[in-house]
Amino acid sequence: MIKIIILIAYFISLYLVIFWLLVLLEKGVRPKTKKLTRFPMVTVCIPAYNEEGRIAETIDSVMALDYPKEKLELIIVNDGSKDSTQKDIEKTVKEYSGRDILVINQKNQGKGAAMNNALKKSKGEFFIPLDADSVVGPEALRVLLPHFYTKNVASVLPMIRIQHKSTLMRQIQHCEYLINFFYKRIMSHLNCVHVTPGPFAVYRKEVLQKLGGFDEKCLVEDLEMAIKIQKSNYEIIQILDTSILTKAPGNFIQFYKQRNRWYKGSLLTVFNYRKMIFNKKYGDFGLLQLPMVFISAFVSITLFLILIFYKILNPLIHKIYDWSYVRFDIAPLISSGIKSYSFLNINFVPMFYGISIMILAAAFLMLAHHHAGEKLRHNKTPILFYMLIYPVMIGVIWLGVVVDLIRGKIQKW
Amino acid sequence: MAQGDYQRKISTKTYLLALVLTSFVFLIGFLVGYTLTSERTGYLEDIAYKQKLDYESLQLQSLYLDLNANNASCSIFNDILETSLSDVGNAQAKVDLYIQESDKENYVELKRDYLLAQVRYWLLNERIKGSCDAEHVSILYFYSNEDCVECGGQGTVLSYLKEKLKDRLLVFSIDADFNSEPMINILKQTYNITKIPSIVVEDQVFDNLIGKDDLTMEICEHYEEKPLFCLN
Repeated sequence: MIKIIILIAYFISLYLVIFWLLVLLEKGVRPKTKKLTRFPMVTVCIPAYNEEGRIAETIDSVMALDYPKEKLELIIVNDGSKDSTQKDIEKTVKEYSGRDILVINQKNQGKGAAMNNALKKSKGEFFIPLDADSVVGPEALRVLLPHFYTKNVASVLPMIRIQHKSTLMRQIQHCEYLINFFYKRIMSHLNCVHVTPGPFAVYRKEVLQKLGGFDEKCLVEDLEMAIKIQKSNYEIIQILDTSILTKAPGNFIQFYKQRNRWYKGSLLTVFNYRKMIFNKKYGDFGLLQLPMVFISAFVSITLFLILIFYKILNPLIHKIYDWSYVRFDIAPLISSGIKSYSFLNINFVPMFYGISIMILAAAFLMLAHHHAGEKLRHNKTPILFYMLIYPVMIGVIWLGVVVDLIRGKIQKW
Repeated sequence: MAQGDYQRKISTKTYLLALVLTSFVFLIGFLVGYTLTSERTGYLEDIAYKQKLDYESLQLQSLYLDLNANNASCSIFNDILETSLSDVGNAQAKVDLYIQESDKENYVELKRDYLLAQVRYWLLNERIKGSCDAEHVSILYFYSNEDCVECGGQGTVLSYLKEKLKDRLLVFSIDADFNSEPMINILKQTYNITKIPSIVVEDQVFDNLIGKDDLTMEICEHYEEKPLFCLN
């Protein structure tokens, strides 16, 4: 039974990697972008809740955008922060007198509500939320805006990178982001991007308004918005030519909290849109992308549990139990084990599958580095840890999500 | 709700191509598995063949020893018995490992072959006791690979003692689950084996897991000339 589950997980993983590599090989359907000649009005919105100490840098980066000043509007929404965020905002805004900046102070209603509030007051043709923990580069708008080549393009997404790579946890996330955004770039060939992340996703405001703005109750309003856009047959384009810097959780506990919210939110949101799953009307998006959240939950949890219990803990406990009967005098056992060892004892089949997935994963990793303009050799250690530890971490997180959901259900009853 | 006019499609070709490629990789995987199994059975068959020759030789020796037993010929007999038995033991352990990893069917006949070899050696060993003064202690070990938590422990203890006592200890391992071989049922009945693991030390049955120290004591009692390990 366990063998069959492992085999299914292997097959799915291998299939997906091969599928996306094939999509990468196909030629893109979208035209080449031209240089920006017309400068439409743009609204950047920074929703802020308890962001003291870091929001100033975010505001500075928006003000430094290489874009005509009179075409750039900034709306900062202080969502009832309890710390000195408001003071920070006021102090920074003062430095930019003469610029088009609107500060809204509202009671705490959540990020979705804060952005909707700004959306109502915004003057821009494009609306761009920017998380207060992120920093935008000056070239961003000039790179992103040309991709709105038809009315159909609802959103264009920049790449996101980690700003301070001080801890190993952050370096691992750096690798993760490189790979995820490369993956999203390939997905966008098939218009299958399922999330428009908080930092600097450029939206066509008209579409946002038509779709009724952001969901104010959702844990992951950015994912909900992307699915809404896809459901209405608009396009989302992921590009890698410009990067937003964001602050990543520095240790596993913070990482766990962030991901627990993301993954739980994704699972619940996709569940709400379950009618789209395997619905021909939504093409590849419904067939492949929406079920993906369930598939990745299944694969991560399966591989995690099997690795931990079936391959590590179970044999270890058995060995220790067995060795207790010889009072842990194991030297003679080792020498007799070596004598009777034969290389035919190695089970080459799982090894073969493991190696073939590793090779494809390595190819993916190299391409991701290449497309992001980074050198593989600069990230050697994080990559090693990424490959070894990251799957385990994701397994732990998915397991936590499932446990939370089951417990939540029981509490409701 | 608003509608864009992006033309959704299903990339059927890509899905199929990916399926073909993935299946191809899996096919190679199955081929690897098939090759591995045939390599393994080939290797084990070689051992089984050698066993048969060894057994014939030992049988002849035992006939000869019935006529004319002396110390030198007894010790040659014991040496060959010991090495053949440990060869069979190793091969049987490998079969058990391979069976756990893949299909049982591929190895079931080989396993039967090995079990019969164990029984044959055990019978020879019992028979020769009358003609030669045994310098070794023999143990019949009934184990199982299914639902036997303590077999790992008992097996570990026996491998440990075997490594310590070398040719002064002979362990005949019998898979008590292998009911399709009548000989095994006969042995089980003879010693009234109901629990697994059970061990028989020179006709004395122990139907519980025995730890290293207790089993050492039991074994050491049977030696006339005690090995160094028993004196410590």
